[in-house]
Amino acid sequence: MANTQTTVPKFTTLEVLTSAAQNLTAGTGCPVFANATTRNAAFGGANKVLAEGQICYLESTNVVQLYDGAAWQTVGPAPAASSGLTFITSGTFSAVSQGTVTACFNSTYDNYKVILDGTNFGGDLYLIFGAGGTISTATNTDWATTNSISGGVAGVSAVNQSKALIQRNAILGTINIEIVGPNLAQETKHSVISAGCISGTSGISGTSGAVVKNSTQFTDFTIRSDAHPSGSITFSYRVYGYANS
Amino acid sequence: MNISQIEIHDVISGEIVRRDLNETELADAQAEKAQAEKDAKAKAKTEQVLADKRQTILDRLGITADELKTILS
Repeated sequence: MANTQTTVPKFTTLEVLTSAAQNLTAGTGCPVFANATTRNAAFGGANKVLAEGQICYLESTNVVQLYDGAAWQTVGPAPAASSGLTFITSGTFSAVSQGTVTACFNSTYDNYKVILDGTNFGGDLYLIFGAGGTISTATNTDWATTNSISGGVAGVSAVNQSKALIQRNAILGTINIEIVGPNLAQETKHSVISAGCISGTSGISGTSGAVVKNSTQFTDFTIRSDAHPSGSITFSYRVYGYANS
Repeated sequence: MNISQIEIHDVISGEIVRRDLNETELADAQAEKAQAEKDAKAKAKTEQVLADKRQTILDRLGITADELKTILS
């Protein structure tokens, strides 16, 4: 490529500045390398010492990078929507009976991953979808759970509910929710793997799943304590979108 | 009843709203909770009826539940 270079010149006292060197330095604006290997080889030795603040462009991946003093970081462009799992949002709910995240599902992705990290799940938890800031009250969710717990808690299920049980009993724990098609005009399905402990003494793990049997295009989700409107739950969340291709 | 607050995080605006339930939400939540308690009681009653039936049969047979498990295993 026309801009590709293999060195980043460093001039010493009384050294002749050739037109080639000048063109190389001024012509590119920022150093352009074929790939990370040639980039790494272009610094140090007789060349410029790599230092914090250095930028470059890599032809192999079409990205602009910045050296932060320890490693090269990609500045941009942002990964395309088709590059896999993309972070959407995160946050923390503290001492509430329910937490709602709005406008996190849209047409960019068909499927989503939600990870909950609970310091106090307070017991059973429910997942409810919503749209435009309004929590759905439609009673068309079928759900089922399986559980493994000290002392034994049988799996439970229910049909035509307004919410889906995603976690049983745990106080401290994690919940991983895979959501299929929340913003599509079709049924919304989700599967859950959860694990945690009860009062810090007994372990529990479980799986669950549910189908919302309508074609509502959801944009929001809500995590609700089973003690709602009382109860107190504290957890952080992260939401990711799966690329469609 | 000690009523907790709820919180809403808007991804687009970044706005976080923490508030009490409004009247409608509170009424819905209390109705939902009352229904859940009613359902749980009904379920427990059904299970108790089934358990009583099982015990009646076991008594008629003159064996315990553990003995029945041994026979069926």
